[in-house]
Amino acid sequence: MIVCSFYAPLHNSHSIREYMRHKIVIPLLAFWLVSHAMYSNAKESLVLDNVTVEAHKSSLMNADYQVFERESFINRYQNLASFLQQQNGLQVQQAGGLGNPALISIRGANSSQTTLLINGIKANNSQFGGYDLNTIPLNQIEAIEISRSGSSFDLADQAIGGTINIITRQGEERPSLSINAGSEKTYATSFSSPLTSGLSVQLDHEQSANDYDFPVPSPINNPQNRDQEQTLKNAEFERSSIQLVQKYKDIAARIRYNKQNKNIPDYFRNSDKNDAFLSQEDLTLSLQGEHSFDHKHNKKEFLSQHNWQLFHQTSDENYQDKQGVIGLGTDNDKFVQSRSEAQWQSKLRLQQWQFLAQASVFEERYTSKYLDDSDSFLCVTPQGNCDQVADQQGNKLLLGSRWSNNKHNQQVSVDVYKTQTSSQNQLRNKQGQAEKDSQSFTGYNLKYSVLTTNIDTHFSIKKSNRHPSLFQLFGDRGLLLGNPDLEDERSITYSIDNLYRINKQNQVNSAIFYRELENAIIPVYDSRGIGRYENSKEAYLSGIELQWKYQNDYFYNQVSADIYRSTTVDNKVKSFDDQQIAGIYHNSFSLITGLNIQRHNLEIINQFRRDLYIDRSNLIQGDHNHIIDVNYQYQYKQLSLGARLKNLADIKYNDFTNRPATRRQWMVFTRYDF
Amino acid sequence: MKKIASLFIAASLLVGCGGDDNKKASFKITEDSYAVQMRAADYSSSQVAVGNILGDRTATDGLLIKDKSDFAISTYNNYLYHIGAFNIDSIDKYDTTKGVDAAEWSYSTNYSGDDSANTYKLVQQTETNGYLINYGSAKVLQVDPSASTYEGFVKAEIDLSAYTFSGAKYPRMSDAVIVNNHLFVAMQRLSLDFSPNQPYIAVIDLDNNEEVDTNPQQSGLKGIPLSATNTFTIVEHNGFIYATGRGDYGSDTGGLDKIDTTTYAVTALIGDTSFPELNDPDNNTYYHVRDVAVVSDQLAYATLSIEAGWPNPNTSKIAIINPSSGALSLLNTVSEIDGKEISDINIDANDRLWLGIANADNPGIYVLDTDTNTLSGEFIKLEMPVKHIEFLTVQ
Repeated sequence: MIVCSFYAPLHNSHSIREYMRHKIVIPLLAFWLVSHAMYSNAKESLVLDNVTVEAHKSSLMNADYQVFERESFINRYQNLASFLQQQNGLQVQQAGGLGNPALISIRGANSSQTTLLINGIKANNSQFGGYDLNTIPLNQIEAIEISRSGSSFDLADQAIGGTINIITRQGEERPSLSINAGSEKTYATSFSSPLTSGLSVQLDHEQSANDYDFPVPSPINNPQNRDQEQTLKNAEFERSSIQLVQKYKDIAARIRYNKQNKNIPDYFRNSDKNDAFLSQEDLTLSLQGEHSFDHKHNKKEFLSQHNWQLFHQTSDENYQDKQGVIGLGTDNDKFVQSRSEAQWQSKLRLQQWQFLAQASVFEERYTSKYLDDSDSFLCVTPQGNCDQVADQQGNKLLLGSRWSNNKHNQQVSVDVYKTQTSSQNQLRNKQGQAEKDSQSFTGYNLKYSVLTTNIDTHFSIKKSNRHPSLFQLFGDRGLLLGNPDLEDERSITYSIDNLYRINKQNQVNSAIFYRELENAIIPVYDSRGIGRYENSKEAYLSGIELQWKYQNDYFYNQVSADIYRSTTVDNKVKSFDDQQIAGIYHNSFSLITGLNIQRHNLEIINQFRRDLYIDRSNLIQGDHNHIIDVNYQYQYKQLSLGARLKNLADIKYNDFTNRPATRRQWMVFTRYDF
Repeated sequence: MKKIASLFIAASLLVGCGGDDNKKASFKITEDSYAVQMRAADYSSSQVAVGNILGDRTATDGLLIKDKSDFAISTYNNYLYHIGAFNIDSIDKYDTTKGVDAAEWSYSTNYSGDDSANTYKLVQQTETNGYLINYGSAKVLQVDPSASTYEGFVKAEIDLSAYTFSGAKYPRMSDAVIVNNHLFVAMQRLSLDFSPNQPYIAVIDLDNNEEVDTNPQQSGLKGIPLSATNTFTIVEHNGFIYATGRGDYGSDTGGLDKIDTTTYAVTALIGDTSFPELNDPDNNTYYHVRDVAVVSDQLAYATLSIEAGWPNPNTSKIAIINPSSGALSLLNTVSEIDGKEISDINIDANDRLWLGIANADNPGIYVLDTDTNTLSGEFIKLEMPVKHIEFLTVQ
């Protein structure tokens, strides 16, 4: 699904970014004036076909592909990571408090093997492969799509683990205001409103002191008092964003500005003089269109849908550690990233057949500057920093077809895609030759579906890849070497996903899958401390996911279980051979119980997680944990009030990095729709 | 596909079948032993292994498992000290004749510094006296390893901040030995960007913790200037100190110095041009001296790390040195170590040379008879690459 938006092309992203930074009012006004003039020529606005949407939604809610509408998560969760943590087959990986990147594992794959899309555009950056689930505030999200087994007709999912697509709000029908407050001096507010017909604005701000109690391994004022619980210092986070969306018929334009700052705590000593921080500013511009046409040919009618999107984003990051507390020396590092992408998708429906064609091209650039390092530009000290410029270009072509029988109780989907990626890395001083890499990959998704009144079963085969990040390909041109022979991670996954609608109140989702992964990319260091990323041999993962849901007018219950088994095969690193995949809980269970009584909703979430290995050698086993969360919501007309208590029992445990996880947290929220 | 079968079994029980503890049964030494610190190839964990020096040398691994890799070991008789370095700052003492399940004591190595002490080594002189060598501090800590409380542990600080290179934070002390009641401390003196400068060895009189001026005729720093930069290892034998300097990355620098602990005279045993056949300047390939082990005044060994430009893995050669005559040659009688990465060498009480192999696919230890320069016994298989080898003695 591609959300429609309108975008007036800007040729110089740098100039618009500078312009926006210093004179934010003027471009907003110009944007409004232009869009208002355009809208005044058209009376129509984009209206969704509710019947189609409902039928679409109900037929796709199984373990394979899910769509969560806004009502599922708004006013109930602090952020996207909190919501996704409750979903079957998903494991959120977030260390520390608010502002630290939240990553996600789908069906046992690691976070880099999961693709995060925002309105169909990949959020994983090419330099490090990272993303942050919480980049988009929940208030700006219209729906969330999750695909696990690959289903390009519904969501372009070519990731090894799975794909999440965040669909942002297309516009507001009426103003709304929400205010949240919580522990650790956490505050959040959001305001959204239509401005004129077709134009809407969304403003969001959140902040937290993150001053939770943390066992400091070597307290600076008393190193002998090891693991003393202290209030964590220099951990504050703040983020503000503004988004404008202009719709005009089938076209929508979006402009979003985001600014955030995360102070970096000294987890080891909790030093008073630590003032390290990471600041980020990014500007996103997109223009989207969605067009549907009815056609007649030889007395046959068929429908075509065409979606397209133009996207550009720039991001400036600055990491500073002036006191040299976090690293071995002081830091004042600047990182600039930009990404441009163009996508086109056409669907054709002809009786029992559907055809799909997708094409996309992208270009991404990453530049680093180490301002406190006098020779980083010359790049003469291998153990020091090195200013670099990395570029990546790519294109993808996908062709797909889906056939349904006359009774529409059987479907066969086939899609094949080819990606081509070219990467280049060079010193910023342009000395020496550029390092280059070029790879192509052909993947596919095959699906056979049997659909009955009560049971949907999908048999899928997905062939996927993950292209190495630029950092893995080229290193830091210092002590972390590049590896020109690094190949894509490749996988083939076999899965059976089943939805059994027992009756109106009961349904059971189940899935069984088996994945073969080859060329897993891991860092390997020699005894000097010089390392590089290499392709390990193979990994095998199999899993069963079960979920039973019961719901009546007053009560709902959901029981979920994810059971994974894995093994690695590695003939390059002895201690990694015949081990279990690290970084994922191999067994997790959850019980969600909810009550709806008049205007009150109370939900209790029990999560049990175990069998986590911290390291690839499986020497360090992670903590088992049982976490209880409680959500409460009261709805009266346009007013929502609520509270959330996370980790009710204040359980102490270490997270997937083996660092103490945040403890009990609370939040109260209120929302008013005018 | 066999994983599917086990998956169904596990699912039917709805419990995980993982989670077995990896701890070894309590291990105690009963005779002279080796101890080896290992770390995972991706630096995500580390462990220690112990085994007999003579007879069956099979290693018992899985000891002192940590979720960090920057650990080192120091030994004194039957005592093993497990030292956590950068951003760990810990030292734990174990009596290996009683096992390594429970430490006799655990202390922080950071006495009063703002930064991580990054302790590399404990140099122990007696049961009640030792010195912590701190890479992340300007001070050596004099400690009492027999202290049962921290209040009795730290006895004094020896300030070597005079050796800090201009603009840098610390002198970067990397190793130390005790000779005739004097502490010899090697310092790399790196710049703020970690470029190596003129290294020194400071000499401390342990009667009063005062620094000895090794060259009163010259002004400036009191210590012994070395010719080989980026000092990694110093060892002592028969009144002489042997100091390796690996030099700078990607350059033809480094070497091996021999220092007379009485006259403080420095003799370069290995320099840039000692092994020209190992260098290939056209391909940016140079050897770097990383480690040394001394058998006698006529026989020593050094590890030469052949660093063949950035894309290539690190391999090693063993140089054979006659410290008295200065004669040099390369060990060529042990084909098993050809192409291997040798991370550490050490001499045991029987004058055998122990070579730690850090190749991730087949890590372990070779033992060499120094009389014949041939292998002694079987290859000691280990689970992880070797970082450091030490020896324990049973009194």
